[in-house]
Amino acid sequence: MFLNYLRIAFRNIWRQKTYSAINIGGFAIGLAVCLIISFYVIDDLTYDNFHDNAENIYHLLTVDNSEDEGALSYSITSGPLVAGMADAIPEIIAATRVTVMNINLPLPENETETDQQATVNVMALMADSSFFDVFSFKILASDQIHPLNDSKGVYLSENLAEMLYPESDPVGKPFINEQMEDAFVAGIISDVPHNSHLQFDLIAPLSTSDNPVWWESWENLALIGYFRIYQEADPQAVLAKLKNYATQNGFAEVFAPAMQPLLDVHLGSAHLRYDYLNQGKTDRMKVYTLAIVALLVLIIASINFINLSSARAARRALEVGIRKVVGGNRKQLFRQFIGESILTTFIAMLIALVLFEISLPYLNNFLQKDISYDLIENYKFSIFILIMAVTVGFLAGLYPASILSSFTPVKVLKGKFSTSKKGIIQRVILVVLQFSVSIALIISVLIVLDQVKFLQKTDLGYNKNNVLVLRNVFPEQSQLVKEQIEDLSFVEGVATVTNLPGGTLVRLEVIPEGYTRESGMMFDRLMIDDELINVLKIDLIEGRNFDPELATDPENSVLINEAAARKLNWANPIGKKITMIDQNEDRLQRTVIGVVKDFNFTTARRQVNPMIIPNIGQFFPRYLVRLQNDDPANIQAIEDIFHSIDPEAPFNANYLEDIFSFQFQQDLVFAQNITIFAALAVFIASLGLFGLASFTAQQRRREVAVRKVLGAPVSSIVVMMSKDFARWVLMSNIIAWPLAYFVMKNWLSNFVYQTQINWLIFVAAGFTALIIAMITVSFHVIHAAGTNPVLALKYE
Amino acid sequence: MLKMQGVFKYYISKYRREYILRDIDLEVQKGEFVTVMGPSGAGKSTLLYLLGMLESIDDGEYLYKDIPIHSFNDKKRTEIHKHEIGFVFQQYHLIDELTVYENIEIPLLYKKVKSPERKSLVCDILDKFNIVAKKDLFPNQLSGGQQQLVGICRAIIGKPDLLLADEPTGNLNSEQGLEIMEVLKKMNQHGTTIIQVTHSREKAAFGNRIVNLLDGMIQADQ
Repeated sequence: MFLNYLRIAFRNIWRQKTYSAINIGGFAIGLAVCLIISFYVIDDLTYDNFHDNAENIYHLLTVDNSEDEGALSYSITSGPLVAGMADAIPEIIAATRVTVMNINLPLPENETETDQQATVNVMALMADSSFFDVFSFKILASDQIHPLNDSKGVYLSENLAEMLYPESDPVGKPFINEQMEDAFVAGIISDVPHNSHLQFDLIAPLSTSDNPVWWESWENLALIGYFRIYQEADPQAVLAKLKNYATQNGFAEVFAPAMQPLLDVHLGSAHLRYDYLNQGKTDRMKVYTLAIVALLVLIIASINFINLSSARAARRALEVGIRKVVGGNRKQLFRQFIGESILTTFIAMLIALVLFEISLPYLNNFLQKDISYDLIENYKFSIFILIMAVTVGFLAGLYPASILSSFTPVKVLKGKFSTSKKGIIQRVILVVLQFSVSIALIISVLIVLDQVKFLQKTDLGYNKNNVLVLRNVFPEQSQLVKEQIEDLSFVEGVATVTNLPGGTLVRLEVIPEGYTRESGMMFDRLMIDDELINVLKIDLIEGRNFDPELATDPENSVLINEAAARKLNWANPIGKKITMIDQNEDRLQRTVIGVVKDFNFTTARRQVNPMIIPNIGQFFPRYLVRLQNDDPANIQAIEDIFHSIDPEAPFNANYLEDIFSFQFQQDLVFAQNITIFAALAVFIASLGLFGLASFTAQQRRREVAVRKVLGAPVSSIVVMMSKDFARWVLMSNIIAWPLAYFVMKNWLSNFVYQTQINWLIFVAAGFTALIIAMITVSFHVIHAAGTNPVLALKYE
Repeated sequence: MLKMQGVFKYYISKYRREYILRDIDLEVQKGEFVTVMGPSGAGKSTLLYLLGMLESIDDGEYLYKDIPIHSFNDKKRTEIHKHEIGFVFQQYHLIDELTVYENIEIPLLYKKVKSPERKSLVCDILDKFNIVAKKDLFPNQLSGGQQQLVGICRAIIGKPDLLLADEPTGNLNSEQGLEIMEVLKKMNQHGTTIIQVTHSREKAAFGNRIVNLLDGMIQADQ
């Protein structure tokens, strides 16, 4: 029986090649898209869950309550707080401080290489000895009972160990590097899984005495803290005790500790500042958006499947009739057709898997991920795929199977069978639904792209065009280099800065005139020289810029931005005093000499914070050079200056605009992803329409023939047959427009700077869908209209 | 074996009953070979389908082996189709996607006959009708007469008590038609009750009783 079913299923698939290709192919593409997205979504959702007791591990955050607009959250915290909390709070099993360092390591000698020794740049994590009590990274080999207790013993990843000590067992061997003297290899850990937010090649013991100002102070935040609590412990109670412990020990008053579950770190950290350890973080919204897109694509593909199968039902009707007459009951027939549906989806799933395997390397590259897939190794995912194939096959086959199995044999066998009106209406509804989703996706993609473009073009309060960024590689000769560059004819100005746009600014405690320390003012600090305001063309609203002639400026003067003036309620800020408290608790009083228009130096996602802008009369690590034009020869001329000072000097020049754009890289990649998936969704929907058009054309063969015999011109027949499809697609807009509008309005509200939603986008999306639909159906329509009517009539 | 009394069949179109069959009284004994005749639209096929329980009667009484059929539920009816009644159609109604062998096999599959027994049954019947060589061909590779032979094989492989044939020779040329009628006659001689519908006097002569229908009513029963 089963074999009989299988045979008939395969023969049906084979007999109707076009239909099967559309049905299976469309479904396979839909499934492949769904698979690919699920794979990445699952990857994102399962970050860090490989640790034992992952749900009991927390990341210690610091909430900064000094802002009016709402608290800021920092990923970093104070060293002593983490060091002491495990002892002070009984619920905490262990707590560890972590920071990261980039180090260059010499690779082992290689005879064929040139005299220059090859090095490898690795991420080194520095952590307390309790690190392995909190996390469960595996130690493969070690000669220590307590890992990281010896301040000289480092742990290498398997991969790195292989690279550095290719021939021998590295444990106990000296570890040669520039940062740590007398270090040795104390152990080997297994390579960090790609879905860990902590990424590193080696762990070294953290010695806070190397940097006491930052790492041993209760006031300063610099280290990242993690801790693990007992399973039974109540996180709320732990947090209360933590807050208590922090305030009792001199944690700054504006700060409060907060807890972030480890499993939230990957997806829930978009708002965190100084989150420098969190590798590859993304946010929930993006993951969910992708998941929704995947689901929509799957729904569109399933609708195709349902539509095509039920449209084709007439062809199978006879078989149903015969089978019923010879004794098949409804249940058996239902089972047969459901089985066929599952078989079809299963074939589609195999094709989808192949597509998935083929596209994975490209996708990894494109999505900037590094994920591999192995059917056996990722058996959970394989089972998921199988279940998905069967479920979708079952659900998609449910409707066609129940229609087919319900045919009464007499009607079919007497030849009175015709597809009912009801079936047609259901199909129309499904097509409209499909196109609604497609149009909504097109609209969403266009709005996302528009928003990204808008962010790039937003007036951030400074002019970033034709500004070149250079690394200052001559700390001793900064002045000379600066003067030489300034002398070039095409250079309008040269400035040096600490921070580039898109980065994070240091936040500093300040005591403005008329306020006390208890007011807890924290301002962003940007250190500049006297040229920056001119080079970036930042508007000075009041007062003056720093004056190179005045020796007192680097000592006593400071600029503030409008946001600061607003926050302090200063109607006339010039001449007011501000005391800055730095990390050493040193107080420096400066006088406000000017107010600049707000400019956004961090990210276009956030409002501009109050900012103080001192000039300390130093040169900073980066030059900003304003050029008259973007002639590549200009860069060459500047490079010549660098090399005239030191022929070996590294020269690296980038346009500020490009660096600025980099912060939108992720958004662009994201937008591109949905664009591709949306395009595929539209393609699959078109495939469905193509299939349906072929059935309609077939159904209306006789009508067309009769009309032609009666003298209807080809054009009127084309119009008659296309009209319905056009109407369906236009109807889809009614659903798609408001849907897309509300979803995208909601999405835009995440941004401080929002683009205006342009109604033209909606029209364009609707029009695109219409054109695609018309092109799709035109093939069949024109074919049907051009057929000799005699053929159709004779056949009847 | 079958007994109809005062059977009516009608369709409702635009709130009016259109009678297909009126007041049919018909009794068929086991082993008979009955031919139903009449012009197009007389209700011949409908009568056949009613007898075969593919359609339900609207009024009157129909006893199948002395049991009123309205006491049968769907399941019981399917059981009867499976075990007791075979159908032969004018358009053969073979499944295009299956070979001759597979087409004949279907009823056995639904009867849940075991594989070896199924094989021998199908081979026997192929042999009996001299179509062993055609067993792996698809229906559209056969002539009309051969297709109808396959149709008959399929109808009788389950050894039904009753064979209902709706113009079994209607699509065949005269030579093929006669062959098929010979087959039916032989089956009747072996004890199968047969009711056939036909237009042709000549074909009717193969049977031993003729029922004439006109406008849904029995005109004559000889």
